Amino acid sequence: MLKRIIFTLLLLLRLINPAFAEVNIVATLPWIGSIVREIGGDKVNITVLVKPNQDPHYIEAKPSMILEASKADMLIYNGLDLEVGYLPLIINSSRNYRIQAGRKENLDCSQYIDAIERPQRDVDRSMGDIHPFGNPHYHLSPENIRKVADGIADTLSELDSAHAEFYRKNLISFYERLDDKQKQWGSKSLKDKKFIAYHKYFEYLASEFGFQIIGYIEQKPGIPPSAGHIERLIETIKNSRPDALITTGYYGKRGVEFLSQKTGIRGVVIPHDVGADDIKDWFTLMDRVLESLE
Amino acid sequence: MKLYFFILFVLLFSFPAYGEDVKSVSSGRLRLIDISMDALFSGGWSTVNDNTLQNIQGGGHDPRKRGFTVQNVELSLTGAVDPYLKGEAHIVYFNDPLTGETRTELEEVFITTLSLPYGLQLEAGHFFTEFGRINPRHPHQWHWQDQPVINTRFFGPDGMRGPGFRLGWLMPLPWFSELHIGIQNANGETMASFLASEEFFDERPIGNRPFVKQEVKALKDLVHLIKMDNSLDLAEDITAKIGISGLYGPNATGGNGQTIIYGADLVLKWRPAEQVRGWPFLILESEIMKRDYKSATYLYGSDPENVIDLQEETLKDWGFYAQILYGFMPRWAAGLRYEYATGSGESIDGRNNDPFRDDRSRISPLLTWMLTEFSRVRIQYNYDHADHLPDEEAHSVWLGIEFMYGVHPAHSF
Repeated sequence: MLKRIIFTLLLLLRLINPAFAEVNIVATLPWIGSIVREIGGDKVNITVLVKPNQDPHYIEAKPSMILEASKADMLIYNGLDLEVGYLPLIINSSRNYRIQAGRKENLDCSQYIDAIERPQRDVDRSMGDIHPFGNPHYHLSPENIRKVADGIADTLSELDSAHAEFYRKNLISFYERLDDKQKQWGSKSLKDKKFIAYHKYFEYLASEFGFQIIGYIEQKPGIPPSAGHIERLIETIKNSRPDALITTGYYGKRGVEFLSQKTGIRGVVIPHDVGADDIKDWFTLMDRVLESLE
Repeated sequence: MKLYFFILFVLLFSFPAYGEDVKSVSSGRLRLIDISMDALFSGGWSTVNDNTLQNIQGGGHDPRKRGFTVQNVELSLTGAVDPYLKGEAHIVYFNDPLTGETRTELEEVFITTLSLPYGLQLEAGHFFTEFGRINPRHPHQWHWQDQPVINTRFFGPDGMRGPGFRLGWLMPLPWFSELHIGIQNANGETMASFLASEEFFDERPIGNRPFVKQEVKALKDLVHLIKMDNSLDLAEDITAKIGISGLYGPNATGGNGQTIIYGADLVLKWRPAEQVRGWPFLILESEIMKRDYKSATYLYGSDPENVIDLQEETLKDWGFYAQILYGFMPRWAAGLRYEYATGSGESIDGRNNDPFRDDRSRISPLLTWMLTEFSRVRIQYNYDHADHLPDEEAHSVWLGIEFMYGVHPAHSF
């Protein structure tokens, strides 16, 4: 008798599998949330795990993140090991078969981009916080974002085929807006500018907009600089007179301020993600980033 | 028993979990096993001698010798088994600080399901019992260099663990709420408060009672666990987790000997959004637990002059620890831990003389220096006050170094 009751209960539970009105999407970073919003519009419900002013390298897997992941129809993330400290744990603990690796609902945006700085030789942690699959900070690259948006639209159309046309249409208007913006951004005179950066954060931007990063305050990624390195850097800055010392909101501000005082070169804190400083979407983020570099 | 297997069978096989073609990533590689190695070493001194240190630093991975201790060298192997299961194994090596002998422990080896429906997750194999905060975590995940006194008393030197299975249910509530039920073997040296083993009782007999070997006759002769965890983000930068745990099973004192352990744990973390490499932070952790150890009657002896006749008695013990750790500047953290443990019901030679049941308190300030996520140096001072000690107190200082390499560690809450 008891067996029969349990079996019936389990069958019933199986039947209550609600078809979703909106696709429930969990995105790791704010900029991903912004692109998904452009494509998904009101057909998706987006939860972003990382706060705009947080350092994306040092995130702890909070139980509330696991809860969000457990309810997700789809998980969209940056990839290239940027989320390696917390995302595997969230995926495992979520008990959500939909977002497990290898499924379409587990969307690694980096699969659509051309990663730069892929190490050409063996790397290990003596070189600092090395990303073995290439530089993961590709979100400040319009060309790569174009491909990511296409990938997101493709996947959404496939998973939620009832609204495929809607997603395609949104992708086209996203492209139209991007084309306009790229014309505007292209007119910025960043070519031939030289910068010293705190972290390897602006490489995609530099290669697309033609400026140069001639040195780093961090000697090795993720490792605070030594006094000797700073001394040498002061010499470099004095000799090569870069246009600015640049860093992001989450760290390096003090280092940049210090060097700026020592050398008289201006320090610039560049917003690094959507949501910080009232930046409402990815386009505004790009506007502000490029403005602050001018 | 049949019913357990039936439920298991239904859960495992009645719901299809879908695996799909792997999308071609620009350059794929076959990840077979993620390997990592974590090593904890310490050096230090105490006002009490090495023999006494085995009692006051009673954790198997505690620093516990004047001079140096190889506390814990852990090899972890994890990987995806197939689309449905993840495998995990942790093998620990350490040196017995007194004899220098190398010991190997199969700390954990288990599988976890990835795709059961309705928020369910099954773990099966040999694993740490999900009781409280410290017990299920590995020594390198602890903030202090030694395990809390109350954990040593209830769960033995190496933590409570054993073969069995555990079902976790992430309940469909608006906040994070997880229920665990589990069942594990009650015997073995890592089941101190339950059937334990003769070797364990030779070293640390609970209440100084004699060890009685017992057979498993029914499901009640195994250890049963129930645990519930709830977590809430109190603010954007403050997260709380509250757990309650309970254990029930037979103990080593004889036929109707039974143990119940229950406790509550609390973790409160402050991590402001604007951080430099994870700093600053504030972590508050506390656990309180109580054990009712119902000892069975014991009668032994053919010689009427030398009869051992023990009455049935419930030995009650309880204790807690509370600790606060403040990451005050990048790479640095300072902490303070306070512990207290006591009990009622006499040990055979008196509770005051029983190093694992007497009244005891310990205060431990700690300073940690983390070079990176992968290495840290810690210095800790322990002030101990315990009834069984000749002067009732002990002072110890431990300097520890930890390093790990291999797969990136998970930033678990």
